[in-house]
Amino acid sequence: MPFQLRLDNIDYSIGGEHLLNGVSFCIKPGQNVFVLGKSGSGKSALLEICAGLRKPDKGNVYWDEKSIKNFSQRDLNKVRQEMGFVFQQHALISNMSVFDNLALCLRYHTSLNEREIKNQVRHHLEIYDIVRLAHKLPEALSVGQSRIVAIARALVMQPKLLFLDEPIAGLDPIMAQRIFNILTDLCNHSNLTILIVNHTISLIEQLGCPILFLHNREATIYPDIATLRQEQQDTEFVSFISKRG
Amino acid sequence: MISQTGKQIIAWFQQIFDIMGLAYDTLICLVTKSGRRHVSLRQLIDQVLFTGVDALILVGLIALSCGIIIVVQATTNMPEIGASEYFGRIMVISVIRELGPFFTSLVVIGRSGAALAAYIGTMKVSKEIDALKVMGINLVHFLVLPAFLGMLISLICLNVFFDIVAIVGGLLAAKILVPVQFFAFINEVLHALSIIDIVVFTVKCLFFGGVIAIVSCYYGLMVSTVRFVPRAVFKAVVSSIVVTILTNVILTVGSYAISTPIR
Repeated sequence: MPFQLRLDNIDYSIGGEHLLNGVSFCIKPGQNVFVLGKSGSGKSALLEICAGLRKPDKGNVYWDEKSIKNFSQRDLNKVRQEMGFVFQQHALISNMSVFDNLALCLRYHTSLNEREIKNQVRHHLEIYDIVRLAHKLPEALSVGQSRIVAIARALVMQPKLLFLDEPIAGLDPIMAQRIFNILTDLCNHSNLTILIVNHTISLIEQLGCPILFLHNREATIYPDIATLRQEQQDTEFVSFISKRG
Repeated sequence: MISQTGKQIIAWFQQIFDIMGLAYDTLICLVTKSGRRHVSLRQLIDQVLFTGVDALILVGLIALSCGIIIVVQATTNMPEIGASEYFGRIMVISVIRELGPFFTSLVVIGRSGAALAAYIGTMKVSKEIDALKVMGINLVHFLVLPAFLGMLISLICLNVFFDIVAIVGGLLAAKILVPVQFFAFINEVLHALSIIDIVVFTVKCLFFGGVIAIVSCYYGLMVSTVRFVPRAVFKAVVSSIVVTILTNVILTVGSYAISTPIR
C-alpha cells in the first residue's frame, strides 16, 4: 500500500526568514502532486520537511496518520526504507560507484546475498539504461546522468512514497526528455505517492495531477493547472506558467 | 556582555555533551551485533589506508629524527651521568611511552582528522548526509564507526612503526657516537620495557584514536553551509590537539602514580 502524507499547520523559518506559515495539506495514497511556487518560496524546504529531514518550528508531519515526532530514530530509519528522495544536487555518495550507490540500501537494509543484490541493481540499471555507467564514480557523470542514477537509487528499494526536487531543472533537451518519460511512466503506471517540485508545465498538463501552490508562505492545492491559472491572483506567476504552457 | 558569555559557556558545554553522546552511540554500535553488521567495510578499509598506510613516510621521518636526536642529546649532554648506559630505558620512556603516541597523534590529527572533518562537512553540504538519512542509513554505522575503528587500527599500527623506526634511528646514531653492540642495544630496550609501558602505550593509542575520530566526525556533521567547512576543520584540529595534550598529561601522571609504588 502506498503512503498517505499529511502536514498539519506547519510553520518554518530559516536564517530569520519566515518561509512557511500554517501550511496544511493531505496527499492521499497513490496520489501524485506537483509543487509549484516562485524561487525562494520554500518548495525544497517543504519537501525536506515532508521527508523528516528538517524540523518545522511548529506543526506536525504525519506518515500514514502517524506523527513523525513520535518516531524513535530506529523507527524513522525503518520507515525511510519505504521512501525515496531525489535531491536537486543528486546527492550520490561521492566515493562510491554508480553500482555501489544503487546497492547501498539493499546491502544495508536487506539480507540478500551479493549475487541477488547484483541482479537487482543490474535490473534497475537496465530499466533506466545506465548499465554502461555502473562502474563510474559520480564525479564522472553529467548532471543529467547523475539525476537518472539518483532516480534509480531512490526506486531500488521499491518505495511507497517518492519525493523529487526539480528533477528536470538545468538539463539539456534530450536528457530532460528522458527524465520526462521516466516521470510520466512513474506517475501513470506506478502505485506510488509522489510529490514533485517541478516547473515543466507541459509535464504537469500531460499528467493532469493536482498542484500544491506555494504563495505568500501559504500552500493551496488546485486540482489541475487550468484551475490554478483561473483562480490564482499572482499575475506575474500565472503569466509565467501560461507562457510555459 | 554577561549574557553573551553565558550563552557561549552553555554552547561550549552543549558541544562537549554532544561529542560525548556521539562517542556513546559509537561505542554502543561497536558492542551490538546489528551495529557491527552494518559497518561499511569499504569505508573502514579506506580509512585505514588513508590514515595508516599513507602516513607511513611522514611518521617514519619524524620517528627517525626523534630516535637520532634522543641518542645524540643523551651522549653529548649527559655523559657525566652515564646516559649512554641507559639507552634502552631512555628510548622506552621517551619514545614508547611519550613521544610515539603524541607525535603520531599530531600527524593523524593534521592529516586524517582534518581530512575527515572536511570530507563529512562536504558530504553535508552536497546533501549526501541527507541522502543517507532519507535512505534510513544510520550515520554512526556508515560514517562514524568505520572512521573510529580505522583511526584506532591505524594509530596502533603507526605507533608500533614509529617505535621501531625511532629505535633503529637511535641505534644508528649510537653506533656512530659510542661503541654499542646491536644486540646489546635491542636487548637493553626490551629489558627496559615493562607491562605498564605496553598498557600505557595501548591506552594512549586507543584513546587518542577514538578522540580524533569522534571529534572530527562531530565537527564535520555540524557543518551547515560551505563557508563552515574550513571552520569545522579548524575546530576539529584544535579540539583534538587540546584533548590529546590534556589526556596525555593525565594518562602519564596516572600511569606513574600507579606504577611507581610497585617499582
